Amino acid sequence: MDTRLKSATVQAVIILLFLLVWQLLRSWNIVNHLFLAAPSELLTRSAFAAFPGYLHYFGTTVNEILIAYAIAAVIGILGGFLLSRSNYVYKVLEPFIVWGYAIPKIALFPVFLKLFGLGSTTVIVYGAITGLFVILINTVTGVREVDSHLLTVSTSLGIKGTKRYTKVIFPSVVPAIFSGLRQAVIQVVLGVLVAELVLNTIGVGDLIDTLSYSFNVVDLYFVVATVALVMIFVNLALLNVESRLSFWRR
Amino acid sequence: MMRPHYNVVRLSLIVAAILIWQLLSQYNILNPLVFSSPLASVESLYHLFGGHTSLVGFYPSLYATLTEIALAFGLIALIGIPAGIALGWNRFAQVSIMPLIIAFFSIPSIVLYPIIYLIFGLGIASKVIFGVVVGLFAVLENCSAGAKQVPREYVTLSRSLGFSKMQLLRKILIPSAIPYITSGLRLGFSFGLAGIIAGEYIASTIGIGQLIVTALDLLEIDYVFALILLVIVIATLVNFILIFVESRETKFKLV
Repeated sequence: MDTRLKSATVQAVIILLFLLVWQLLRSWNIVNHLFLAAPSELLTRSAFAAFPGYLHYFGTTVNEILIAYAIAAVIGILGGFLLSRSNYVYKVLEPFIVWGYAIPKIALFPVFLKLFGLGSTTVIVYGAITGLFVILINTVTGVREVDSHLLTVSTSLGIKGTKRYTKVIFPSVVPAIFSGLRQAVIQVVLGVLVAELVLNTIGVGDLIDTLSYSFNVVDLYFVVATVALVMIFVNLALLNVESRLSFWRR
Repeated sequence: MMRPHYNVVRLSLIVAAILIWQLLSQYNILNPLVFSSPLASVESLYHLFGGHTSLVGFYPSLYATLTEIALAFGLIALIGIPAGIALGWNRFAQVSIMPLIIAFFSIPSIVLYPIIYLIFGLGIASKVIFGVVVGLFAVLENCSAGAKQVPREYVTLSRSLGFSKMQLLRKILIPSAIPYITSGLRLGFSFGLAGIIAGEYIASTIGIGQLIVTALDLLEIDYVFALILLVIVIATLVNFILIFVESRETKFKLV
């Protein structure tokens, strides 16, 4: 049997086992029905019927994600290029950036809450900040790792100013930036959902929290499974694009 | 022009930021309902540790959060390092199991928290489990990358020297994967801690995050900032320790 078929079989077995255990936890009443909905319950007509009523929550959240992501991308990429212009400035600021990436930004959430209130603004600001660092760090690393031979050659060929960026630096930085942008998708979505869950006023985060507080487990699991599946496919698609980009670079 | 040493500039930046923040608060340019001042936050933190405060339950909260951090981080290391190394080492696991793991961890973990607290309650257990869910992937990913990059020549060499499996693991695999393992642990800790604090904000009966929410409800901004400061100090401290271990371990080179 070839490896691909074998690994597909292993994957299918693991997924089926997972679903089976999940189903049995409920069917054998190991976990109370107030806390756990079985896969079979999620496939019933009533679970699907409730979903359209929740769609406007998703609209709010998607909107916030898009805005937060755009902000993070613009600031992250521009900031990355600015920072890598001067080696000295970069060296001075590097530990602060690493530190900013490492500390739990969620701790600062009360400050955002106080500043921007209980609505979308807080969610967007927090989402943008969670996504910002990974784009910034990847951009800086990408620019700083541009092959120094390329730069030397371009200098001796008299390529200067804007042209140096458009012809030499950008093309070799694209994969690094894309990698940052891909990782930022997960980070921004996570940031937005965290903010919504903490605020408990708008969007999918609010929906999930409310469903859980009211022990509406079937709908809760349905919504969570929807978010999970969507993000799995988005991430797999992005990984696919990324591996193609780096292939094309080689 | 002579440029001052990096650390001099860094230190002056930090001092300047704290000074400006203090002055802005002192002259009420920063809204005192939103921002505490550096002095007031440190003072409140001092009061919290001394027990002279209107905010009750500081020590139990601190104890709960530290327990959650220790348990979650221990589990992350205990599961993540061996599983990650095994995943990176075994070519078949690399193509069959790793994609499933990547898929699972592309779920925005926070949506799982309500399910976790429904099943495991609002105490310490739910935060520990959630912390593991949030922090595990970084360790798995880095350890597997670490095991993957071990030069195959070393393995061949060790075989011809008649190394046992255990020796191969202890003398070749782990030493050359150490930098990956430690940076994975650092990331795993950061993410795990963020998960624990987020969990405490969202639904919890105890913990520093829960205490921050309480202080916020009571409009005790100084205490809110004191506790935020505490979380950041804990995160920074553990990061420093892990970086220190990392730099010591990586001095030990294979060749």
